[in-house]
Amino acid sequence: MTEETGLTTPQTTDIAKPETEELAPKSAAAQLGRPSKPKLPVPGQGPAKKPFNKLAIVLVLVAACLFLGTLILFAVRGRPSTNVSNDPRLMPTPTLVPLPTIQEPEIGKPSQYAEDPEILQLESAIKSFSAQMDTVNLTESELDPPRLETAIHFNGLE
Amino acid sequence: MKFRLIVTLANLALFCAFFFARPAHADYPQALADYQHTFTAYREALSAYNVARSEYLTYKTLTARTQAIYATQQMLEHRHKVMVVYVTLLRERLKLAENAYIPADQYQIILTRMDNETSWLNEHGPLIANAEDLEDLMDLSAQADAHIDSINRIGYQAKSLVMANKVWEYIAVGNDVLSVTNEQVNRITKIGLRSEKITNLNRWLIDAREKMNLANNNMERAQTLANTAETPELYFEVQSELRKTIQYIENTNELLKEIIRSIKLE
Repeated sequence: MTEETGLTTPQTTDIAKPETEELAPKSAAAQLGRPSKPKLPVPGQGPAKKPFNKLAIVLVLVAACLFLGTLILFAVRGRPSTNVSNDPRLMPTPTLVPLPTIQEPEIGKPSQYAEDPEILQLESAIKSFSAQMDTVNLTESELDPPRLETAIHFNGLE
Repeated sequence: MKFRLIVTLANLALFCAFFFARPAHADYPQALADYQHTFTAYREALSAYNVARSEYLTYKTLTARTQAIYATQQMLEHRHKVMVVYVTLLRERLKLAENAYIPADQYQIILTRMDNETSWLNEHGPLIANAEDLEDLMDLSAQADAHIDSINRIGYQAKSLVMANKVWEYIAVGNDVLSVTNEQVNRITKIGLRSEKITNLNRWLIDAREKMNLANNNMERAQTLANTAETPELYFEVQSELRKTIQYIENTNELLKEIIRSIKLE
């Protein structure tokens, strides 16, 4: 068929390729010994391919690397919130950890009354009373008078 | 003397164990729960009343008027119940402090006032249910306004008396602890101590007594105010005086701790 039309068809597979170059069909111009004309674009096959631009390849590779890097960064650090509020009430606050109470060291030599049962009992009573004083509540808020609606009227009532 | 000390310390221990952790009067938690429940119901009735009132004033139709009468009646009935349970709450809270440090005459005066308000509320309640028109309901509401003010005044005074009673109990314990510390210092001084230490202990004891006197005097002033504290302003004034008293007791306690620390060291 190519011999009839005089156009070359691209060789798609090695199976269709003739076994030897010598057996491959030649174009009509070649058979007639004329110089071959430049190939024209065939409708439906698109423009002729240009050689690869090395700069474009490098740029595409760099862009791909940056994109992948960004994806990995998001995956590792988590997706940042797009709706960050500046409200101080919403800002994370440190959790208060109560400090362990440290027993006040008795500086000095203990006296003969250090283990006196009456003194120890009195000391315990004073400390207990002091602890209760720290928690004294002087509000009694549950006894606050209720806020009730007064002056019930219907303005404009005839 | 030793016997008295043991009795005093036992009293202190009993006070700390009993007073600070004593159970509330059996009826008080129930009264508080009733009050909170009734007040919630009142708030809902008030919302319905506001809606019905607004619709009636806008459209002035017969249906809107009927709805307004119903909603007003409901709201007034709930308001009435709140007043009744609030007076009961105050009465139960005062019972907790009965025979303690509330002056007997003040206790009787406030009880009489509460009884008067309760009598009026008992008479007033059925009138709300029997009212048939908005004019009647508005008249009944106007009559209740003066009593709401009176009950609020009783409430502020009851709060002031209850808080003053609480601080009087702290004053009593503070005086007791100071007295026992004084006895212990005397006992140890007689046995024998360095003169320098005796001077220090006596100085701290004098300071502690002065602080306790300030607490007592301030408490007298707070009690005088509490007896007539019927407004928020006076109530806050009482609260401020009571805080000062507490501060003086705490200062006394710090001095007593210092005395004990000194006794335990050479």
